[in-house]
This record gives sequence, C-alpha cells and structure tokens, in this order.
Amino acid sequence: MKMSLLIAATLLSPAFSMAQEASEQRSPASIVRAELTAELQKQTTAYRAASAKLRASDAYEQAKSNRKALTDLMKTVVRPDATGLARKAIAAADKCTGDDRASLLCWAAINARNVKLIRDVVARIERDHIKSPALVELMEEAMAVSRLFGRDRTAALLQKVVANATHPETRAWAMYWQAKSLDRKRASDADKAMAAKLRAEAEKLAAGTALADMLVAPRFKDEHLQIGMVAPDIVGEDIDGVKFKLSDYRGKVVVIDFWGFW
Amino acid sequence: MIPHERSLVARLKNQPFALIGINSDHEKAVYRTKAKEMGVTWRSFWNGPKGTGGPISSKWGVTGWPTIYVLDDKGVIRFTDVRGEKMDEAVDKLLAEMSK
Repeated sequence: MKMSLLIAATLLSPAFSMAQEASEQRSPASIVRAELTAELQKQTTAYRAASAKLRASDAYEQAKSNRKALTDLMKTVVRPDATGLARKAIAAADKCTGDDRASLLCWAAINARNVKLIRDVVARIERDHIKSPALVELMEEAMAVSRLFGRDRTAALLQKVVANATHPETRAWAMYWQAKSLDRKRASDADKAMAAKLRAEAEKLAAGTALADMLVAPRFKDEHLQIGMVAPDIVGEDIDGVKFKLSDYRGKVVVIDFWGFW
Repeated sequence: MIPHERSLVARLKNQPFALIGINSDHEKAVYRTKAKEMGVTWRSFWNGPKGTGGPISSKWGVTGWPTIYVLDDKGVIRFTDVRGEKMDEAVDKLLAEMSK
C-alpha cells in the first residue's frame, strides 16, 4: 500500500514527470501501473493466505454448521481493495494524457469490482481512447470484465472497437470474442459462418501474437499434435529463467504435462 | 496428481525418462512456494505471466488442464491424455520398446 500511494502521489507532482522524461524511457504511467499491479497482487496473496489460515482454524470448524456465523467469520478477512486501487489508477490517469491515460483507465476497468465505476471508466475509454493501442489489454480481458460490466454492454463495446479502433491486435481481440459469442452449440449456420469470418480476419490482424497462435491452434493440432507425429519443439525458459528446449530430451521417453498449482 | 507424478519421477530416476511440465501459474512466487511444499522435482517451462493464456499453451491449443502428451525416445507423440496408472503404463511400454 505504502509504495503505490507514494508513487501515485509523486506522479501528481510535475517535477516527477519531468525528471522521469529526462532519465527514463519508462513512462510514469507504466510505473504507476506496475506498482498498482504489484500492490493488488500482494493484497490478493495476503487475502488467500488469511482465508486458508482461517479455514484451518478451530473457529471455522465451529462456525461451519451455521451459515451466518460462517459469513461473519469470513468477513473478518480483509479483501483486496481492487476498487480503491482502480480509483488511484483513475486519479493517475487524470494527470497524464494520450496512451498513458488510456492505459491507466484500462487498468481501472479491468481490476475494479464496482459496476458503476467500471461503466464510467469504459464510457470514458470509448469516448476518448477508442484508437489507443492501450485498449488491447481491455479487449484481451473483455470476457472477464463482462461479468460485472454486463453482457449487452460488452457486446456494444466490442462492436464499437471493431468499427472504430485502428490498432490491429485490439480489433482482433474484439473480433475473437464476437466470434466466440456467435459460435455457440446451437448456433445457426449464418452465425457459424460469421464467426469463422471474424476469426479469419482476427488471425490476420493479430499475426505474430499469442492470439493468432490461439486462432491457429485447431489447425496446428490437426497438423502437428496427432499420435504418430513428431512433437513440435518447445523453446523456452524454466522457472529460474534458464533457457532449454523440449528436443534436449530426445533419446528419452518424455511426458509433457501442461499444469499449474493455481 | 502431483503425488502421482512425483512417485513416477522417483521410480524412473535411473531410466531414460523425463517429465517436462509447462507450468501455467501466473506467478512464479506461487510456483516456488508450492513446488517446495509438494516436492516437485521435475523441470517445467514457464508459460509466462499470462498463465493459461501463455504462449506455449496457446500454440498447442490447450484448453483443458492438465493436458498430457507422452513422447517416445524419437520425439514421436504416442499417447495423449493419459493420467494416473495409464500414464505409468504408457511410459513403461515406451521404455520397454527402447530396450528391445
């Protein structure tokens, strides 16, 4: 908390932004974002740990059979103040302009847990920043955001982005989600055809990004990941940042396991 | 899940075998704490800060977790989605093929 308050406060002073411009290529906005993200992560981790501790406690065992007692007990755990941090992002956004502002507003829209605040911020983004490349993040998270923002509002936002945005990957994400919502189990043939068209267009717009890989994946699986095919190489880093390749293990039987602790 | 894989790795530690994870946690810190706690001894690629939306799983079109591929010593995909005992059976079969 202290850190992000400090950074948010410093950003408000004009001397800070000048000093930043002179010495750093990273914009003050990106520093604030990183601080806010770290703070939210810290609070979330603390919240998870506190909940786990509570669930292992005697008090929890005792309250288990009584719903109200349980609710009251869980309320004693401090939740991450995502909306408070989103407000800080907005305050910082007001002190800068252009893509920096758009980027901070998007952070607020993605992380806030207050419906009205999300609606206000998204309205501002639609009005002033529809062409900003910073919108890509909001578009990537569009489905997560829609849970609070609402399905119809999200659909309208996607439509506006497709119609008016100029940043290719941003438009591609909007099309991707549009295709997803069209392509349901009992979709009409017309809807399915439209979804395919949107995906093809998104694939072109997003060339070279993870989104394009996701769109290509069904074909990639057919062409490279079937039983009897030599597995494509994976080149990457381990958790400690040491580079290695799947093909380093040629000559051994290998189990590839896509997993996580979550 | 992890206890099973841990015992598989332990059982085959002197064999030409490797379990390679594609770890898709958002935070390396989560991985580090939990890996220690649960005794994860095998190596994982890190799928990046986007977690399950990371580059490796996106490319491989992974939509379910865990997703498993078993490769023979020539790198050929021989089994998919084998878990528990079936994973052991698949690996043992491929190891037996090698020693023929």
